[in-house]
Amino acid sequence: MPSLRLSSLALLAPPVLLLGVFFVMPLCYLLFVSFMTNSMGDLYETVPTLANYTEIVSDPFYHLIIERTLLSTAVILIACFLIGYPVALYASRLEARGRLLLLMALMVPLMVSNVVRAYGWVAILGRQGVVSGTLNTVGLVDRPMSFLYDFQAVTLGLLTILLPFMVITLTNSLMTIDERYREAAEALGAGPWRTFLRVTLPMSSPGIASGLMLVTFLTLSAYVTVALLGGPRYKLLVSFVFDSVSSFRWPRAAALSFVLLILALVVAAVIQIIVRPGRVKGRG
Amino acid sequence: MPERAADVRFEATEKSFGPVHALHPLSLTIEPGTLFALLGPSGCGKTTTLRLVAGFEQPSAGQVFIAGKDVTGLPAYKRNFGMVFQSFALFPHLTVGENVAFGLQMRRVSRSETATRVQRALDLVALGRYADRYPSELSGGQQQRVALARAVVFEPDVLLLDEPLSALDKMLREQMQVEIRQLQQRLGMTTVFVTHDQEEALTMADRIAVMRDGRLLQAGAPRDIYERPDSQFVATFLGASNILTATVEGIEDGTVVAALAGQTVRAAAPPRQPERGAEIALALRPERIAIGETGLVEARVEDFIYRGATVQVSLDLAGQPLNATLPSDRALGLKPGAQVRLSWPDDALVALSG
Repeated sequence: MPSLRLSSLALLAPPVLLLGVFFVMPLCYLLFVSFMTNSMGDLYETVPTLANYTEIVSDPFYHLIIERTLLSTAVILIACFLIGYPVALYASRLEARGRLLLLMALMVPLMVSNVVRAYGWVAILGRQGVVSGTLNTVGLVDRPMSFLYDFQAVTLGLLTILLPFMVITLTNSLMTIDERYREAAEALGAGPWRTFLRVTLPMSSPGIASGLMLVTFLTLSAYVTVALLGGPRYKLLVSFVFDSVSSFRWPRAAALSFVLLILALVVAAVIQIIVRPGRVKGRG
Repeated sequence: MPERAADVRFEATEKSFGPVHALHPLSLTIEPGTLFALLGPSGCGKTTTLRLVAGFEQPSAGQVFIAGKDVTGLPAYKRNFGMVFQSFALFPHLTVGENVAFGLQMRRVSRSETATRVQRALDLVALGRYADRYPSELSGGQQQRVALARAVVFEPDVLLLDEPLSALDKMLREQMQVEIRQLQQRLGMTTVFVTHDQEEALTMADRIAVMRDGRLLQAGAPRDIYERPDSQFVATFLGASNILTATVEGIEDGTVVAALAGQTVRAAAPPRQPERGAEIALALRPERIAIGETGLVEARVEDFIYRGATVQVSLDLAGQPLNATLPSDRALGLKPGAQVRLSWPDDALVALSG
């Protein structure tokens, strides 16, 4: 049916064109730049080099940053799953009105700018902040303490932004699982806990995987929260992309961006391997 | 598999959802080893009744017994029953073999015994070589058989089937009716199935309970219900039936004597005895009417429809419409407008109570 294929091509053309012009081409250009020499005056000097990558690979400092980036991503993913899943499970079993209200409530914080939210955390975790003040009053510590500019501040800050994405993705996935499957498991003698482990959890694996991937990509690309809550002391990979750009080392920034992209793909692959969303083969 | 037969008993069991009475108090015993059909239109309470046996619903009042044990209040997973769902509900992330093994694993049957029993159950439904496939790779009929194997492999007390054939096309449905019946006979398992298809109920069941608006109207063997319906609803829901109005003249040992179109006829009496002089509804199956020159009552031929093996004749019996189904060769020579006489066997006319 040539006419049908022609019309489907026509439908496909705009998104392909859009992706090609605004994503694939810039990405190729970025890859190209990452193999060029840094230049003080220009964007780059047209002298091909591997230096941008070899420096990252050989420098123990970057190893530390990559490790740190992966660790905070892993902690955020695990926390998003452990905290988000029960909420999503609850939301998916509410009737439509209650579910709408709950999901709306989860999204309200997202309506505040990331900058404002980060300063909110500063007010809570800083030396003069709520946590420090409370600990002082109770007498657990004897001098003001800052919880900012460290792992816990960045992780907490990101977690609160990303959790709603996880919950909403999971809720949608859980809602597509017909109640009959749970009843079938019960009929076969599985109590609530075993029904969850053997049926609900594996059947929601596509939702778990897409939720975790979404959180991964948002974590690795988050800048404002990392910059404000990590400060100069606790930097992630994304911070160095920014630093390189501000010191006009564009090729270095491009190379770091690719390392970041590769990290994202590796994490995505690990998620696919662990969660195995592909095992839910259609709904028999 | 050893024979396992338990009875299912309802004692004044009822169920309401808020103000809606899904099931009015029901007292009914399903004998061990029977294939029992709950038949009725949608919303009649048949599915609620089945779900009460399963434990997916708990009764608002009354009790449910399985194998003589009061299971009221017991959650589904603590009752020992197998169930086939309308949509089959095979777990899509598990293979056919893993689906069938599920119930055995929940009962902590050893690994080696699970393997043998799964194989035996799959062989039973002629799917012995499909253990490693996923449900989505099977046809509708094969999925149905896997669902059956999964439901019977752990030798449950009762097998429950919720509209088990409605997801299949007509040809396959008729084949599966026979297969399920044969399987049930072989296992001797007490089986309750829900259907809205009267033909399915008549073909498969040992006993049928006809339900309507949350009430049990009549229960009995298919032949009894078909030949001796006691209400207009049962008479017309199970197969086609003519409903005629007559006047009661008297009762003589289990027979109602009534005036129909100026003639005295005899009909099997309903459980509730009618009063003399009252109007009464009589059921008469179209296929039991004979048309000829002699007979009980006179009628006029209105029209007929040729249906291959049979002819459906529309008649007018003193103002009451009436259908008769005749073998095609018996209808030769009938013409619209002709006056004919009708006769039927003594037991064909049944007086209804409602």
